[in-house]
Amino acid sequence: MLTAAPPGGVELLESHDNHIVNNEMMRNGQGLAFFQSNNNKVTGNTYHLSQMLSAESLSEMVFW
Amino acid sequence: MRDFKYFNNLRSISCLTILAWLAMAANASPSTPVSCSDNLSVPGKYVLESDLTCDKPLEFNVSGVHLDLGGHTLSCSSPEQWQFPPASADTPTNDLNKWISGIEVNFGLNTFGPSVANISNAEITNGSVTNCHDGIFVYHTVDSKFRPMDLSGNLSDADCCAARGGGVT
Repeated sequence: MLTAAPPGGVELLESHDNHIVNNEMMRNGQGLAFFQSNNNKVTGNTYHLSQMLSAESLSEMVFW
Repeated sequence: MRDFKYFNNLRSISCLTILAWLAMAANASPSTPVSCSDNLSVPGKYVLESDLTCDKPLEFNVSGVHLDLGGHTLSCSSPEQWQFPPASADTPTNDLNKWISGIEVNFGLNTFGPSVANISNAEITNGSVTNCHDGIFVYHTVDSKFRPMDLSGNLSDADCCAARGGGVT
């Protein structure tokens, strides 16, 4: 069942080994959201007024 | 005689330099301009040549797409067209068709599910994506780069979560 996917600057689903570097992700529902996405390198980004969602929240987030 | 040999060597070096420059120029393929709702189906270099406001995402589903936003802004005409109000607080009404992300990488209703193959070597850089559900949605994508961009103002908390009846916190 699709319940929700949070909006965001960048949302990754089942995506790995990517580089997300030096982006501004302000005033988003989520600055950056990961679902089942591992080994991504994230550095130099700004998230003011945005939440950060990590894979640890996966059990609470049902995408499909 | 020595001067002649020196001149010949110099001429050879000059010719080689010109040939190398021509080879480099030939390899420096131009970037292809993109428009709203384009599906970039061929690997290569693409560029956004002006600000755009779109009602459908720009998307690609193949490896090796390098998209330069050219310092411009890709805006969604509306963050998304969710059905309001949600059916109930616990079961917000939504539909994948109604999500409008600015750029969708390897995602589509016809390419959704566990059997989707990864793509790689995607690169998106140098611009802004705003007023969308997600600035960039990335699905089954590996070894790719997203930098540096302004991905601000994509569906604020107040807009999204209150309207969805608390489905997302």
